[in-house]
Order: sequence, then structure tokens, then C-alpha cells
Amino acid sequence: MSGSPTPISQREAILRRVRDALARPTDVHVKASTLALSGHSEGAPSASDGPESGGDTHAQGRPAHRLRSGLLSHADCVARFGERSAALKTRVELVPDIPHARDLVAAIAGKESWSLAGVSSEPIADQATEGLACELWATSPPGESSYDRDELARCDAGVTGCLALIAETGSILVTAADQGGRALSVLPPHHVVIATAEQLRPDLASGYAALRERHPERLPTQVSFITGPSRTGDIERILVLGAHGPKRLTVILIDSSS
Amino acid sequence: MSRTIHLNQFHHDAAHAIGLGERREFIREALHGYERVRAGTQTGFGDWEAARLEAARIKWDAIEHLDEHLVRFADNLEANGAKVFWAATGEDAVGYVRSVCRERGAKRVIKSKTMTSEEIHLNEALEADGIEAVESDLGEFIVQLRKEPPYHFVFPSMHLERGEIRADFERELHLEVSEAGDDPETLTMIARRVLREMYLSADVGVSGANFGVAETGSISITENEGNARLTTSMPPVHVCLIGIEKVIPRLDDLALLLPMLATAGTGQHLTCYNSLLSGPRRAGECDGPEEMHVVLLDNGRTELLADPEQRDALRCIRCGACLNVCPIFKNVGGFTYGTTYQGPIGSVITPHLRGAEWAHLSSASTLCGACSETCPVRIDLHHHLLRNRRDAWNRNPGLRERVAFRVFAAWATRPGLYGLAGVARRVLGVWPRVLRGTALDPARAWRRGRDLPESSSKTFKAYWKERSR
Repeated sequence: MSGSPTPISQREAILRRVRDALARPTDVHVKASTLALSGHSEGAPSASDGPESGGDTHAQGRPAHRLRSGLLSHADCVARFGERSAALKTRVELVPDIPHARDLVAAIAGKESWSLAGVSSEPIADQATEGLACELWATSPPGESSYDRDELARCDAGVTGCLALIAETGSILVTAADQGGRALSVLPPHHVVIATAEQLRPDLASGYAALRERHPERLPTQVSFITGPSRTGDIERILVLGAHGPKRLTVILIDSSS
Repeated sequence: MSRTIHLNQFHHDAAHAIGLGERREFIREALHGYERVRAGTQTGFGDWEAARLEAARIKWDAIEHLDEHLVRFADNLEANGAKVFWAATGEDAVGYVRSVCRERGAKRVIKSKTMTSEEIHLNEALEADGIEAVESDLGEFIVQLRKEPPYHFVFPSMHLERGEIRADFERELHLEVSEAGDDPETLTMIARRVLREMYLSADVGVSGANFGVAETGSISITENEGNARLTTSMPPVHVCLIGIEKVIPRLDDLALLLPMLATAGTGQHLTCYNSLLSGPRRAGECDGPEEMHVVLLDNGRTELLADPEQRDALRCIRCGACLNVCPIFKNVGGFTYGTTYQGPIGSVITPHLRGAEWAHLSSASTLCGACSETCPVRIDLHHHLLRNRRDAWNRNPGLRERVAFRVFAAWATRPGLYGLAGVARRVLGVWPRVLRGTALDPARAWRRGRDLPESSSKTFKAYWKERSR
């Protein structure tokens, strides 16, 4: 490791300054106005008082402060994900099963004339790209610990699964552990996600719950909520897709009820 | 001395910005645009006021127990394999990043948006070491080409029109004329192509962070372009600069704070990429940096924390909404502040972070309260501006102001004298048009910079007398 280690005193010095500063209690007027205490007692429960909540707040109904979702049924979730995705310019395709997903990937690959597609080593991504008429390449080939970055840079598309889909925000949750590492879902110009309808969650809070469920011990080193194709408005507030990440984002949603 | 330097610079730059009418209109239009979009998005919350209160409470708890959260954050980061450096000052932080770069023999550093790095002037220091520091956020990339600071800490290049950006690209990137066009799409794709090379060739990636999650030892980065994901994925070393006030207790707090930040900041329900980074590449993962360094920066933040009234301002999540609604920002523009953090929040915190010579910024406010109203974490910004004014006065009560207020009190408490002022005012109002603004105009100093509103032909006192007859 490079860099000289922090002398322990540096850490302690800053912590001491923090503690000394906090030893003077916060002005009561500022506190009352900020936390709107007139209508609440000082001891009113707040999110910060509880024990490790572990993401269970959403289970007790939808608190008023959340993004409005009120989604209950599975069909509602599918519809909402579709609406949000359309607003974000994410293409969503519903298919009944893997063979249909495979046909769709093949059609996209043909239309965009892919010559190389990066595929994460997940069963669902492998199945959806089986027999694809272009060169396939895996970021985590069996028995190898890393990949050739130049190959990744050559990819016309990255095909991955996901950990969950978030209906309320139209987001796709991916992690470095399962979705082919950190870069496969952001470097190639087209990111194609193969997901199943069971992976749909109503809102962000339930997305975090899904993340904890899959990784109860500790998080993978990178986790990302992807909400639409890469975008910028830095020039005259005009929306441009594909600023640095993918210009196109496609979700192929396998829903046997569709 | 430096007090007058900064004050004079403010006056000079404000006068300059106000003189550029078309530019001012362009910026005002953009700021209105942000406000409009945000208002629409805000309706996506079940109850926006309840959401603000909840967000305020989460951040309140984080600041009130900052020591505990910091310890937990740092310990968990280290358990995740990251190296944590505690930097008391900007120089300490810069020194650490330079030493990391030196040990890697770094030639090129790719950066995603980090205001903390602007605050500590990292780029200048790296360049002095012969290291190329490249900004990858499009707005930052543009202002870096122009050798300008960011105009707005969320929208760095919002003051520029496409033609200017095209000219910058042609000049600085040595483009063939045929390549350039001035539509935003073409310009963005040029930046995409240029920067793609940089991610792959950089030796170190430097990022900021929007939140530090104590529970999991993670940093959370919010962005739209994907440049932060690439910056933290491709180079072999990732250095994150984070202010100590950015730490929050729990992972689940993000389920509220991320949509709040997106809504207030850019008017989106959620920005395009919200990433959590918890350490360097781990066994079983196929990519990611070999090293992750997290620099926890104090640099004056504990000074602000020590103020029982104003430590409140450390809850800021840097959404920039208070700039967008500020009538002063709309007129004087971002550069006039001369600070890393512009607008109302910058005026509140800069005197604490950088010293009393920045106290004049707190006078750059109409106290209209739009900033406090828009703040997603309910920071009482306009009252903090008043507190700064009070503190500045107590530190250094000016003779001129003391005399002025004595005279004012004498005048305002004597009805006879007060009445004379009304007469004088009406005389100025009917002052012959040809003499206005000339040496013969007693109101010349006022009229130089603004209009003198027409006054009513009748004083309130006369009206009242008439009415009660």
C-alpha cells in the first residue's frame, strides 16, 4: 500500500476537536425550528432513535416521507417500472420466457451489428446470449481472476443480470460481485439487462432490503442503482444521452404471466 | 487587510456581472428552469414537508453524534480494506494525495466531480508535481479547459453558451474544424471520446462523495454521466475526498436522502447512477482498484461545529437549490462570491471555514428566506446569515455604522425631523429630468446603480390625517 499511514494522533486530534465542539450543546432555538419541535415532544421518535432498522420500516406501510409508490400488486409494479423507464428513455421489453429473451437479444445484436458482446458470468445472462451470432466475451472467465481491459473497451454491449429492479424509480440494482464487475455495466455503449419479474421491488427501501438479503455479511465493493441511460445537461440544460456511460439501456423483463 | 480585498473583489465582480445584461438573462432563465423542473418532481413525494423533516432529522442526528459515526465509518472502511487518512487541513489532504501519487509514479489522475478538491486546490498541487489532473464531469471538464473555477457547485458550466464551449474545444483540444459542431450532442460526444482514453490510461482516480455510510463503511456517490463510476472502477488506485460532515449512520437513510438530493439538486426522482463503494477490489471480483484511500477532511469544519447556533449548516447535502432561488445569486452570479461554495450556503459557511474576512458575503442577501424555504434539510439559512452579520459586528463594530445608526435613531424617533425627510424625498422625485444623474443631482450616487422609485404625491401622515377627519 502506498501513502504514509496516519499517525494515530491525527485521528485522535480531529476526534478530540469534534468532541470538544459537541460538548457545547446546540442552541435550543435552532433545534426547535429545524426539527419542528413545537408540535413534537423532544423525545418524539425519529428515524435516528431506533436500533439498527435493517430496512424493515417499509414493511409497516408507506411512511408519508417516502417517494410515493403505494404499489401493492405485482402488475402495478410492472406497470410503474414501465412508466418510469419510458420517462427515463430506458427501453423495456416484456417476454414470457428465456427463449424469447434470447431471440430479442439476437435481434438487437443484429440490428446494431454487434461484433463483440461482454457477458457477465450469470446463468440468466449466459442463457440469453447462447448462440448469439457475434463474439462473446466474459469479464470473469472461469479460472481467471481478471480480464483484458482493451477487450472490454471493444465491446459493443454489456449483457448482465441484476440484483433487483425498483419500480418506483425505474432503477436497476447491480453489484460488482454478480454483474460482471464494476465496469461491464458502464463502459460499453449499450447495457442490456436480463431480469425476471420476481426481481421487481416496489421502492428504494425494499431495494436496500434485497441487497442485505443477498449480502448479509458485507456489501460487494461496488453497488450501483442505475436509473436510465447515462445522461448530462451540462450544456445549456439540453439532455444528451451517453455522456460517459451507455447511450442505450434495455431491460428484457421475463414475466411468465405476460 | 484581506477583508477589504475580498470585499472590493465582490463589489467589482458584482458590478461587472450586473453589467452583462444578456448573460444575466441567460443565467436567470437556466435557474428558473431548474426551479420549474424541481417543482414538478417534488410532487412525487407522498408529503414533501414530512420528507424534509425526516431528512433534517437524519442529518441532525449525524452531526450531533458526529464523533461516534466518524469512528464507526473509519473502522468499517478499514475493515473493508480501505486506507483512511484523517486530514486536519487542506494542506494535509493535498500532501497525502501527492504522496499516494508519488508512490504509484502517477503521470495522470482522472477526477470525478469533487468540490472538496476545489476547496483544497488539489489540481494546482498535482500539476506542480508534473501530474496531469483531468476533470471528467462534463461541466468540470469545460471549465477546466477555460481555466475557470466552477460557476455553480452543482452546475459548473451553466453560465456558458454552446458557441463558447465549441470555441474552447477547438482551441484546447486542437480539433479539426470539420469535427466540431455546436449542438450539445456533438460537443458531449467529443468530450466522451477524449475522456474515454483518460479513464483507461489514468494511474489514479480521485472522487468526492455525497455521503459516507457509517454502518457499512461505504461512500455513496450520486451522478448522472457515469464518469464517477469509471473513475472509481478503471484506475488501479481510487482516492476519495470526503468532508467529515458527510457521514450518515445507516444504509437505509439513503432510501430517503438520495431522492431528496436528486429532487432538490437537479429535479430528478433519482439521478442516473447512485453508487456505493466499500473498499478496493476483493477476491472473487474481476475488476476494481487495487487500493482505495479515503481522506477524511476537517479543514475548518470543526470550527463550524463548535458554533452551537450554526453547526446546523453542516447538515448541508450540497444540492445547490439555495443558489437557484437566490435573488442575489441570480444577479451577481457565481464567480462574484470568490468561494468554492457559492450562494446562501456558501455565504453562511465560508466565514467559518476560511475566516472572518469572508463575513461580507452574509450581507449579500435580501433576507427573503427563499433559501431556507427550498432547503431539503431545513437549514435556516437566512437566519444564519443574520447571525453572521451580528457576529461580524460584534468582532469589529464599525465607527461609520455606529454613527449612521445614531443619526437614524435620532431622525426616526423625532416626528418633526422625520416629516422633513418626506419633503426631501419628494423634491428628489420631481428633480428636473435633465439634471438627474449629473453633479447637480443630490441622489446621484443612488441613481448611478439603480432607479429611484416614484414616490406617492401624498405622505402617509397626510393621508392618515385626512382619513380620520
